[in-house]
Amino acid sequence: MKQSESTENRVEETLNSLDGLQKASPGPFFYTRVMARMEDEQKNLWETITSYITKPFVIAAVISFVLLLNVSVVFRESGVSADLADQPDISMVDEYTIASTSFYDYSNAEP
Amino acid sequence: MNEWILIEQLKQGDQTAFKKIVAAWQDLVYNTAIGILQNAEDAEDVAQEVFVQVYESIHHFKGESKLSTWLYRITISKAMDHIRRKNRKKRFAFVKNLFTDENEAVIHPPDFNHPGVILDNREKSAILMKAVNQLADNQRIAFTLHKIEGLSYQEISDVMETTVSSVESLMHRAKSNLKKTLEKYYQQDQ
Repeated sequence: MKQSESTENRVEETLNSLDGLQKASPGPFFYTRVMARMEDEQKNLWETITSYITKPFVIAAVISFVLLLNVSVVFRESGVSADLADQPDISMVDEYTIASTSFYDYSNAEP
Repeated sequence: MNEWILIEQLKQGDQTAFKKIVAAWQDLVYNTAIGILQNAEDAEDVAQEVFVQVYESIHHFKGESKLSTWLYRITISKAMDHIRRKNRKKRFAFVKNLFTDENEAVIHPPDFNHPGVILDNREKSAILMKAVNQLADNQRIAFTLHKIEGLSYQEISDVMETTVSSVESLMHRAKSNLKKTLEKYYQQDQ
């Protein structure tokens, strides 16, 4: 009985042990340390970016991408020029009147 | 100076306004952080992180709540992240120890004594803080804000974005869980 009472008392005392607590403060020059941290983070950000950009696999990836882009452009261009080559030269058609679109030509066309 | 004027000045990039904000609210942030983290170095680290975030994201502060409420929210979120990171590291070190031959000594943190505790209560408060560590996150936050920061239930409900009755229930559960833990502790001690 006495034992449980004493336990209860100790528990109550422990629960109330934070009464009258004073607020904790950071050490002096806290603002200076915050500013230093901000500068460090800014520096670290650039360091992270540059270290990432200069990694061999990133460089290799960028070079391969540029090469692929070049190859795709070259292929596309060659496809377009091939299509143009298939068509008759417009100026020649005009000059020799190879193609005629007048109604007279159609109606008098020989079989 | 009015906090809204300081906030507006900081939004315009005024360093002096930032210095004044840090000076006015550093104790609030540090005391909350040390209450949750129970470690002075970690609390300093988190307090610095909080003010860096305040500087960087002041443009997102719309003024729907008081600056102190916003600061409490950032501090709690950063402190809880810090605890999760630390626990992850501990788990990783434990698993690493299982699979490697290196036997790194597992370091148990010493009992935490809040610097603001009255000398006579030091021993008991250290036991209480150990028990607080075993509470669920929400109960732990509510208990810390009430007992260490001295906030009212209304203020806690603003910070935790919940109702006053929810805070009352959290506090009731926190106290009964603490009682159980402490009873066990003292019964084993006898």
